[in-house]
Amino acid sequence: MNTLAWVTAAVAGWFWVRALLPRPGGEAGWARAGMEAGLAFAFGAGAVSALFFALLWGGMKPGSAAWTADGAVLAAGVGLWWLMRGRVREQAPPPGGGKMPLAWLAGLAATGSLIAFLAAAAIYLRANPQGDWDAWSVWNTRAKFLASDGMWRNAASPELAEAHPEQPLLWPAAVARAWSESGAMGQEAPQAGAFLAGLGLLLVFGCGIAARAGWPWAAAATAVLLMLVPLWRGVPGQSADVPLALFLFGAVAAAEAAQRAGWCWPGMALGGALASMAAFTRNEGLLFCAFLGAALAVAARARALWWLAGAAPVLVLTGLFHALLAPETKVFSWESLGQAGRLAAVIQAMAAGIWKMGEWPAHPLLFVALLFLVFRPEHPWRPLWPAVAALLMLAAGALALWASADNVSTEAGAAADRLLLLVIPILIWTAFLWLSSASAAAVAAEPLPDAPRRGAAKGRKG
Amino acid sequence: METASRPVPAWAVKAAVGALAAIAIYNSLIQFGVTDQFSSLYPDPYQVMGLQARLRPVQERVPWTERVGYFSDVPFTEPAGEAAFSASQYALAPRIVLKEDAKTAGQAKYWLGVFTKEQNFAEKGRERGLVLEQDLGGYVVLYRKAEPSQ
Repeated sequence: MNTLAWVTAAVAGWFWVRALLPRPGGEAGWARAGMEAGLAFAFGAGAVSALFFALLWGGMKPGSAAWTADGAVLAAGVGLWWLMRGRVREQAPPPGGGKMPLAWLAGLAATGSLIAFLAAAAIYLRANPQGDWDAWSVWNTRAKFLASDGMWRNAASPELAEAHPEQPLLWPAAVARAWSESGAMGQEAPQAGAFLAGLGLLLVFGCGIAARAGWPWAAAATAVLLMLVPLWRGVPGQSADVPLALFLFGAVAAAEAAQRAGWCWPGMALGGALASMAAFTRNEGLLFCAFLGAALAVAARARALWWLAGAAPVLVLTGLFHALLAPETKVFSWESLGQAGRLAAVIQAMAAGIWKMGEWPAHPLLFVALLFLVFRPEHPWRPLWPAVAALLMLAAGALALWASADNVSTEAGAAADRLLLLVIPILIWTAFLWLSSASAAAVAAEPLPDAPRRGAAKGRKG
Repeated sequence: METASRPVPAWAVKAAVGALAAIAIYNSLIQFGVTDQFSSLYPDPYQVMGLQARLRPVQERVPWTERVGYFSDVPFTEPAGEAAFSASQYALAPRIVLKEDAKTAGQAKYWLGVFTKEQNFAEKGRERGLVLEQDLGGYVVLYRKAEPSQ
């Protein structure tokens, strides 16, 4: 039951995603289903957890709040799905990726990497059921307050200084909801949540590319993403950074799908809702949400208002949390900005984080660069806004670290790793969209001699 | 959508995909090996689960609404001291655990002492006006605030 709560959240989220996400053109039904499943987990877990917290704040007991939140999100999702039947927008037909020679090898690499990743996560969780430091000392400690009748307010108590009471409460609420529904504070709930968030990220990432460019490109991109070392540590570590990465990436993927359907309002609203869930997961998420919104306002202009409308409910809750509940803490300091040494330490930590985010020669940026060298996609690279948003997030994260009141020499390394876990999936995904489009155009210009068409290949088999 | 139109040499694509696949598999084996080795060598490195099991009697005895005071012979400036405190808070939540120098620590009726070696635990408590309530083993001790008459 500790794990079943995540499934019920995903089911509730599925109706919302089914109603709002524009359908991809093309025939890759499995890719669409996979992307929807990943986004359904993100939206469902985020929506029921935010509502659960709001109901606790409103005076409900944890058990009642959990079931009421589930019922409300599910009922509203089913209602929306019913209303939107037959009205869901179609995305423009994808350009498709060019044929990839040795595609089976890319598929083998992605499958092998995924199996090793899941097995490593399982082994780590068996030895460390409590996860990494942040998971037990911050997020799951605060979840215990939310799951205990009458004690929820202490999750934001200034007395809880070591557990960062100033951080928002979406992920602790997600874990607390699972505990409240099961009636026991088992370690399986945060473990399953982290595991499914990691899997959801991989599903949205891989299936998002598969729907656009075909499975060989999805396999190659997934193999590159799984070179990201912070991902291997983050998922079994049960930190809130993995769901944060899922919310941010899901927000980008949903908005990109909306763009391909003429910046349609349902997709934009879904993207906004997911971004707002990032804002209620960590303080940095609010900053990233703002930059993503700014990048979309430039790209989509007035249609970005739909994104804002989707984001509004959880953003309001986030604002109320910061205004009325979170203890006042000195997060930023003007003095820090005046210290050049801090800036140097942040730059050094970011450079070290980028260098160490892959185990050389298995470095994600090396392989993205290699594929760029091979395919040389010409300008303009479209879509550009996800990459701009991700780079702005990276810059903002570094700036926030420089201006923070924390001890930069001890915090910068971990903060850089966290930041890269959030932005690198978006950058790799965007790069693969450009590469697959370039490849498709190149094949159109001169088909690769070693890349027979699907029908021809079938014919040879016979 | 405008994109590249120059043809791509098949050998270059094959080489890139081959290198990507080989290195990705190599990386997954390395990462799996590192995780496996770390998990075998350092299971529960901060003894979070161990402390949680040890503090079960405290969970049964101390009501949720109580503040629990905390002191230790390991300074908080050391990672081990910080870890022991945070692990105690995790184990005892939803009770709030307070360091002895916290403003509201004086309100705490129950106290937890976490030590690194055998010593006179009762004496350590008396120095703070506390009575030893239960030795939980593993150098972890539960105290109670001494009544004024004591």
